[in-house]
Amino acid sequence: MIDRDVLITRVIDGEASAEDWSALHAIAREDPEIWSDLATAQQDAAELCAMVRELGACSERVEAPIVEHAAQGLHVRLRRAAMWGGWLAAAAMALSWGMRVPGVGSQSAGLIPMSEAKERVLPELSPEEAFRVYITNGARSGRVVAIDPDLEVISARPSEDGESFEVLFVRRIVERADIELYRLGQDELGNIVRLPVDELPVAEPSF
Amino acid sequence: MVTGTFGRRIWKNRRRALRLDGSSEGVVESAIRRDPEAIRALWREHRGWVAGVLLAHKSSEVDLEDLLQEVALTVVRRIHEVQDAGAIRGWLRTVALNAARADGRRRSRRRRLDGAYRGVHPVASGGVDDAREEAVRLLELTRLLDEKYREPLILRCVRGMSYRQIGEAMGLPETTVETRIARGRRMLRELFARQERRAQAGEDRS
Repeated sequence: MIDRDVLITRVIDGEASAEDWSALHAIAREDPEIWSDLATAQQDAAELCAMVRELGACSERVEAPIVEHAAQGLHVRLRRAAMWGGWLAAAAMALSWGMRVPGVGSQSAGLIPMSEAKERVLPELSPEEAFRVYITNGARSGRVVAIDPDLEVISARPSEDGESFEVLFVRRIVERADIELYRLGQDELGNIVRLPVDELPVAEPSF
Repeated sequence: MVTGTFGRRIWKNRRRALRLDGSSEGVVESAIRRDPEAIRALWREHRGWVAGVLLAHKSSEVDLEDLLQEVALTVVRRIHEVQDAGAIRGWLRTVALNAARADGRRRSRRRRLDGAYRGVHPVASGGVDDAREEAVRLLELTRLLDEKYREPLILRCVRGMSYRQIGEAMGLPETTVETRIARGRRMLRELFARQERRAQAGEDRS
């Protein structure tokens, strides 16, 4: 014999088989109140479900915070790295030496205007396409960790044709690189040279 | 056999469905390997019922969206710890339960410190119109049920959640899920009727 509550629940959920309906009719012959219980349970279920769906609708707005997580992780790593003091400076220097942009000569004084680039990379692609390729391939290889969706606007002015605005902005992209650390030293002539680091500090996690 | 443009479109849609369906094992495995697109797809597929779990276990005054964001962040941070792609529902439920319980503990500590807690707060803040009043009352009454009945009852309300899927998440056989939903509905019906009788008696006295 199927349980009375289970029968009601199967009907409400649209799961009742022909056998269940027969059982329900058989119970109703002895206990007609089952129809009223069924109606009340159906109404309760409909109202409760409407409420749950209304409250749960906010889930559509919550996305997996991949970028925030990566940025947060980087922030923590940088803070740890900052405790190393000179190590961070050494790492930054190694980065600047080891990761020059192809075609750009000097990196010694602030931002490098791209007009100084001597050769074009991926000449067959538009900047947008090339950027997409860079992000996709970079994410795949692990080089690109995150993109900051907030663009930092530096300046905005009407364009020459007066139909739009020219906006200069900075787009921040978080990258990962494996680098060799060097320390600065002097050779026998007193010139500043890079010397390989023999021992890495072990007290802090590497990044 | 389907051929031509129509066939290509079907194939394209199927590929898209495979790519975006967060419940398929391939997506879960990619998410475990920290593929950002797979994590996004996985989260989108499951966030609806995860909200249901939170709704069943969170304390009434906490904002569901805040808690859901906390769960989403934990999923991004710790998805690589999942050992078995087939057990993803159970893992997500555990993450949601932990978030709801941790929040409950924080709030209960704060209440003890403040000494300001004055009973159950309404689920929805602001004006609740008459049409929704009964639904709000029902949801409040589910809080009086044991959580083993409350959770499947609420999860069943999440669109598309079958007994089998609820069972996968809760680690229970389908028949047990069905029985708990049935019992939960009866208890809810009885609680509601009892409350109605009390309200009626109060009105008669006054």
